Amino acid sequence: MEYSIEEITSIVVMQSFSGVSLLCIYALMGLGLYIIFGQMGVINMAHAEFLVLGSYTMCLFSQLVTEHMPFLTNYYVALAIPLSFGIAFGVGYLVEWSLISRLYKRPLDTLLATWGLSLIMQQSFRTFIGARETSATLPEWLLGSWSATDTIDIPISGLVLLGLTILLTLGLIFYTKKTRMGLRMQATTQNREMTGALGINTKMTDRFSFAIACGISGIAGAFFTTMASTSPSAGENYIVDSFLVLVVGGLGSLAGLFVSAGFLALLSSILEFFMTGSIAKVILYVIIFITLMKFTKGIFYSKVRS
Amino acid sequence: MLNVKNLKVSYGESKVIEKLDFDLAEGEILAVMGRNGMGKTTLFKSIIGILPCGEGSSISIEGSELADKPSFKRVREGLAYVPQGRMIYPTLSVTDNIKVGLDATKSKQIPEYIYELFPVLKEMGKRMGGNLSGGQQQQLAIARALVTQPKVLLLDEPTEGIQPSIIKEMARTLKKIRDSHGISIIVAEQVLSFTLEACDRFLVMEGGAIVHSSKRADVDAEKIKSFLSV
Repeated sequence: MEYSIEEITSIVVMQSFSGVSLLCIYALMGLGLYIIFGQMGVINMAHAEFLVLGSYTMCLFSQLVTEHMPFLTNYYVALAIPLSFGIAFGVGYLVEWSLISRLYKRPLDTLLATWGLSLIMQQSFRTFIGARETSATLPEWLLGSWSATDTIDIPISGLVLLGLTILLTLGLIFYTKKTRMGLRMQATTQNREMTGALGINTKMTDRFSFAIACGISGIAGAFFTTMASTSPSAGENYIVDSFLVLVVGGLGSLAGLFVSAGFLALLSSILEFFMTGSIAKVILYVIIFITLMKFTKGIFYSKVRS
Repeated sequence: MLNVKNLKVSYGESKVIEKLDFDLAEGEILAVMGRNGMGKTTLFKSIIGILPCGEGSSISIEGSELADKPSFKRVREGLAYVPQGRMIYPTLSVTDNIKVGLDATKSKQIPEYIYELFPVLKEMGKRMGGNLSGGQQQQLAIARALVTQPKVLLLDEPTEGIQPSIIKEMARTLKKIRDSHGISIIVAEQVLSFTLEACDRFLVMEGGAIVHSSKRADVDAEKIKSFLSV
């Protein structure tokens, strides 16, 4: 079968866009963890459950709107996203206060405690929401596509995903680089004792930073319902990739997170084109392993004197 | 200005400071001298609140009790701390390092006098703290403490790792800070020439207690030297 230049261009553009969408998914998975693991140094094994919490918020809100407020059907996504942020932020705030705050400087204990938390959260989803997979009823406009030309169709959900990723990333850059809270967070994570000795309430800074990161994960999770259904154990699909994106990029580097997300998206797309999903995954991990042997602290690790 | 009474500090079962008393007058520069391991850093860490002090200990600034307050509240009461080894933030820019100290105040602008004291910090504002030399990092650590608008500045071994020509300049800077801003200063040191240049009063610590005290007018340098030699 022969393709015209126009058709080949269309295929390349649409495939590239689906690659960009995959990059956005990886980046969204890693954004919350960028603060919690990359900045605060907390190995949060329950990170994916905060994504799932966001997904459930979206699904339940969608059900509520469909059943009781049908006039909101076309707009509820705009309300569900901040709601997902708020709920994940609140739960994150409580988790930091009750659990994480007692475990700084104890990484192994944190690992164990947050793994336990992930199991508790999964069981809570099962008990209070249900064990079956659920998905959000999406508004019509989100299901359609935008015809850039006669042969190029770009899914609207992909465009919204791209917009959301750009918005969240710019928001995070502004927060960390341009606000007092962001500076407090960076200072606290680099030297907690010294930051307290400079007049900053490090406990509140930790709590707020952790909660913000959980909130971001909540937003990411909410948007993932536009692409897949969710279930109590859906986090298992996210957790490994979330950590990989961050570690390959270099802890604490937002630029690294995106380069890494692009790298993983590109590799996944190429490998999955030629082989089955599971074999592609194995080869992907081998390549990541070799990359980490070369760049032991990630691709974008900053070298400083002390 | 600062009163320390009956100060007790322990690391677990090991008592490092036992019933230590001293005062710091307004505008005074006080040297706390002693060999390694005699309790100088422990004293500073307990004053700033990094280490908890034992029951019955009292640390007050202008009559306000600090012993039961966390570090950040002590800073807001007027204490500032420059630790041994500087502990600047290596991956924050010089400007951001200073701005962390500024957070304790309502001010958003780094005061111009900071750059008059340490012009190099203005030139290197965008450079990462971890990429400065030892002397520049020391200036940055002092600047970061000064922007908290302290009444009392605690300096732990400021001459450590600094070349001798800069040490004299640092003594002059401390006096300038005291004279122009009325800040009282306590310096933990082992370099006698530096403290003789900068300080008004001398305390010597041994085994967590003060074993010698003298004013500048009647300082016996040889005696202090004898405490510092191993």
